[in-house]
Amino acid sequence: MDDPVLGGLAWRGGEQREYPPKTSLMNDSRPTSSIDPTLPLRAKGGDRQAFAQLVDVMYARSLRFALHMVGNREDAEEAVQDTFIRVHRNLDRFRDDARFEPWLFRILANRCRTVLEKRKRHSVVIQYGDVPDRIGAVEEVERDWTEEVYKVLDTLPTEQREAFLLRHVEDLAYEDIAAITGVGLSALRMRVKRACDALRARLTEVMRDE
Amino acid sequence: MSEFERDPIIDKVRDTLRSAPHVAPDQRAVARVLSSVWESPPPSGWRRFFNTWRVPALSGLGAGALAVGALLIGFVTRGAVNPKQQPEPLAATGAPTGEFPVQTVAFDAEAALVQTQFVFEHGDAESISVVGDFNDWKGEAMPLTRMPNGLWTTTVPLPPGRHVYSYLIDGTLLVADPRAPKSGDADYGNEGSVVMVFAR
Amino acid sequence: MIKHRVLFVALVLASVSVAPALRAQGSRVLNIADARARAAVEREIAQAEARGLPVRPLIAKAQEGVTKRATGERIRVAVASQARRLEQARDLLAPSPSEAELVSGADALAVGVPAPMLRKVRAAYPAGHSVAMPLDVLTELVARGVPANHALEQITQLMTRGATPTQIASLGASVQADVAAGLTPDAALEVRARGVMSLLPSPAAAAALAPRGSRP
Repeated sequence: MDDPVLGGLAWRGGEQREYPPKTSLMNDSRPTSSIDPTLPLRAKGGDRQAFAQLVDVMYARSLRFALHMVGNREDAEEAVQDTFIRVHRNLDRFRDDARFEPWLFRILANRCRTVLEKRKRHSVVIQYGDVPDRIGAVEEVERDWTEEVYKVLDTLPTEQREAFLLRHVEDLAYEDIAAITGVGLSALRMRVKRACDALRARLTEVMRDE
Repeated sequence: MSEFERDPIIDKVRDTLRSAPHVAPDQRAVARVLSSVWESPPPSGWRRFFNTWRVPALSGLGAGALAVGALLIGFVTRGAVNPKQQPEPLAATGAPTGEFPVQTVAFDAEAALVQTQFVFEHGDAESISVVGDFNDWKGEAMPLTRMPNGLWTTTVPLPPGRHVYSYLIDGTLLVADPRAPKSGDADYGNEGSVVMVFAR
Repeated sequence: MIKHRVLFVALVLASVSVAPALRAQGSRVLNIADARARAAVEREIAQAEARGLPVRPLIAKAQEGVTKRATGERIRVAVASQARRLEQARDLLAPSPSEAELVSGADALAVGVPAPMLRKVRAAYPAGHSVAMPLDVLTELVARGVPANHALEQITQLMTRGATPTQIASLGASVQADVAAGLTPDAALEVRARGVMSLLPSPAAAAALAPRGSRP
C-alpha cells in the first residue's frame, strides 16, 4: 500500500498521524552523506517512490543551505521547490556513475543565485499599520552570537558566502564545490579564505564579549 | 583542512549554521514539493532530445546556437510531439445562477489534490494572485493569468476541505471574490471567500 | 511610547542583506517591520511549539496578518488565539488528532461551533478515520447560518450511517449553493442531507455488509 506521504499529501484531510508529532530536529549537526546510491538511479528509471525518498532525505539540508543563502524562508522554500522540480525534470541527464549531492547542490546554488539576482532588481512596497513614534528607527537589540553570525554572513559577497557554506556547513570537498560552481580550485580556496577572514575579523570581538 | 580554516571561531560559526533553527524535516513541506514535481509538466520531446545531445563542455556560443535551433524546431512541432494534456472540466460547483467563480477541474488520485480553477473578473491590474489558507497567504505564490476577454484565471491543486481565500490585486489590495460565499474573519476582521474542495 | 495609527508606505530597495533578527530566527515570520512586534509573535509561536502544537498553522496565521496589513500587535493576538484554538481542538479530538484535524477543529471553534460538538464529531467516525472534512463541513454550515445543533445532528447522522468524507463535502457545497440561491439554511440542509442519506445503505444493511471498524 502506498505511503500517503510519499504519494503526495493533502495537508487538510486524509492524513492520519501520531500526535504530538515526533519531531526530529537536526541535533546531529554534521551533514552526512545519507543517500543510498541506488536511489537516484531508480528515480531516473521512473521509480516515484525512490524520488520521493530522495526529497525526503535532502529536503532539510537543501532548505538550510537556501535559507543561509537567500535570507528568508519564503524565497528559500521557493528555491528548494524549484530545485527538486528541475532535478526531476533532468534525471535522464544524471550520469549513472555520478554522485547525487553535488549535482543537487549545483542546481540549488543556481536557483539561489537567481533568487538573489531577481531580488536586486525589484523594489518592495511595505505597508505598516501601527508605527512607533520614531519612524524608520531600528530597535536596539541585545547583541547575540547567532545574530552576529547571520549579520556577517549577510554582508559577504554572494560567491564567498556560497563557497563558505558549501565547504564548512555542507562539508563538501573542493572538487565537488568546483563542479557545483564552475570555478577553479584555487579561486575557490581564495573565496573560502576571504570568507573565513571576514568572519574571524568581525566575530572575534563578539566571542570575546561572551 | 588547511591552516586558515581550522580555528575556534570558524568552528563555532560552522556549528551555529549547521544547527539552523526551523529546518527540521517537515513531511508536509516534502509533500508539497512532491506535489509540485508531479504537477509540473514533463520536458517536451524536443527538450529531452536537446538534453540528450547536449555536450557539457560546449562553448556559450555553440550552446546558445543549439538552444535557439531546438527552440525554433520545438515551437513549430510542439503540438505534434507533445500534445498538451488539458484535464476535462467536470461539472461546475457554485451557485446555480450560472456564475461559477471556482470550478473543480480534475482529480489527481495520486496526490489526493483536486485541480481547482479560480475565475475573477477585474479590469485594470498589473497582477492578480489568489491568496488563502492553501498557500499560507503568500502574495506571489499563485498568480492569475489575464485572458483576452478580461477574465483572470488560474487552476491550482488544492487539498480537499474548506478553504478561505481572497484576491490580491497589484500586490497591495485584498478583495473577496464577489461571486463566492463570504467567510468571516474572527482574527483580522477582513472578510474573504470560501470554497469547498472535494474529489468527484 | 505613543502609538498612532497611520498608513505608512515605504519604498525599500530589496538587497542581499536581510534584517539579522529575522534571519537569526530562521525567518519563520515574514516582513513584520516592527521588531518588537515581530519578536512578540516569534515568542507566541515558540511557546506554542513548546506545548507541542504544530507551528505551521501559526506561521500561516501570522503571514495572513502580514498580507492583510494587520498591525504587529494584532498579528500577535491572532497567533495566540489560533494557538489556543489548536490546543482546545487537540483536547477535544483526542487521542491522536492529525494536524489537519487540529486545523479544521480550530477553524470550527473560530466560527462559533461550540467546543463539545467537536468531541461528538470525533465519536461519529471510528478511530483512525479523519474527521477533518466533517469538521470543515460543520464549519461551513454554521458559517452559512445553519443552527449549530441542527448541523451537528445531520452531519453525525450521516457519519454514523457510513457517509464518506466526499459525500459529506458534497453536502456542504450543495447547501452553500442553495443558500446563495435564496433557500433558508435550515431548509437547504434538510433537503441535501436527505439526498445524501438516500445514497447510503440502511443501518441494518450497513451492519450486515461491513466488517467491524471498516466504515470510511
